[in-house]
Amino acid sequence: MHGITVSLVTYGIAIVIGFFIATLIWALPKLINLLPHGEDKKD
Amino acid sequence: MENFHVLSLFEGVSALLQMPISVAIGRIVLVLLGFLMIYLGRKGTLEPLLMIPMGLGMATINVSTMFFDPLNLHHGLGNLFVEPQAGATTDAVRNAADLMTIMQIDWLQPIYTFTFSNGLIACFVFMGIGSLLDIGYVIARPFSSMLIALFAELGTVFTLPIAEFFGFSTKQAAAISSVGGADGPMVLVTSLKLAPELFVPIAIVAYLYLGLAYGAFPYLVRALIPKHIRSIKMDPPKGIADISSGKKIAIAVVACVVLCFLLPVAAPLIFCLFFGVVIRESGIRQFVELLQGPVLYLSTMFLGMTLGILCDAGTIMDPKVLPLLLLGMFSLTLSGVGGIMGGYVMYFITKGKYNPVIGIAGVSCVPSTAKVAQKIVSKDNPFSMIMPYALGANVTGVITTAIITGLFINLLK
Repeated sequence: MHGITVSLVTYGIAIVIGFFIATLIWALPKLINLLPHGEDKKD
Repeated sequence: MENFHVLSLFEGVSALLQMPISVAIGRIVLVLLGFLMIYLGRKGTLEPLLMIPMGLGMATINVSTMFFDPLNLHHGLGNLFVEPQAGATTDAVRNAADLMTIMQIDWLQPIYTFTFSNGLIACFVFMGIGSLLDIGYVIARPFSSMLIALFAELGTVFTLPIAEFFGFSTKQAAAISSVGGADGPMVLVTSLKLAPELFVPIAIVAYLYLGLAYGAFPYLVRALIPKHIRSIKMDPPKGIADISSGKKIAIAVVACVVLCFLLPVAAPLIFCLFFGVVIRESGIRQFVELLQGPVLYLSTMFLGMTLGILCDAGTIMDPKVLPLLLLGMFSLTLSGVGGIMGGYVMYFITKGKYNPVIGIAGVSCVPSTAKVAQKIVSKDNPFSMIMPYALGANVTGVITTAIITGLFINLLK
């Protein structure tokens, strides 16, 4: 694979995985709050 | 006593006089550079944690050459610190014998062989960094942090074809461009996996520039962002204090498992980072103190010192190193510019309410670039508090660098 192809493929996949992780980070606290007793105590 | 010469008493001096004049001058320049690094580290212009041990190592190694070359690798000249080439031949029997010999002579060889050349020290540094990270800043603004961090990878991604154009193989080019991620441990792992023959010079270039970024990024930011925009006041994001440690642990565990599942090749580093985060949030005081203190600082000290010792004129003056120096600088600068572009995108999305200086923190040199961002803004507007946003981008930058490291290695191995 040429360097430019590697760069573009890498950047494209990184954007997809990056926003997938961001969505997880955004959604998880909300999911935890939905669980019974999910709203845990503040430290 | 007939052939006695006073210089034979001082082997460092006679070795310097016997080497080619260009190499001797190179050594003297590197000694002076080492002094400068210590001075700038002490002054706080460059990152002192790395620059002081590295500067002293660099100055020392370039005057400690003697008539000693048990492995016949350097035309009769060597030192008693470390031999990075030991065990690098294709002859397994010779490699084992070389390592056994050199381990008993060179005092830093066990550190280099058992922690440096296999990435263990990078893992220790990541555990320590993880234990310092509050991922609450990422949880508060995951999308804007991710956007900035992805922009700040421009150097990592687009230096690759340029390095290839300069004659490096695709694997070598990927290892060089990883300098743009500004994440020392990731650079060590990428070069070990993809271009072990360039491991030493790439590691030196990476850490040298990480120290320099601390001093040079403020100029880049001031050049690209006018003062009235740098002064935009930002209040600390709301809700960070409401994020419980339980939620932070849950997110760290899930993010760690998902990332390791997707990119097993970067799993040791990803695991170490999130291990530090989980330990911090678990409140196991003894472990937190161990990671934040001895583990982080002992590894950083030996990392800086070993890197300095590796800055021998023989390595630095290799003709291959000059393009590495230029490409590394280009990669890091491009990442800085990319981060600022990300900051501007957020500035326009929020209609001028977001301070684009935060973008520089997307370059994941945790927590240096976040501190740099706050320092710049504080000078222009002491009431603007961008640190929480900058730390969010900073932590996310580590994640994006891990993703790109894993992808490079998977695509090119």
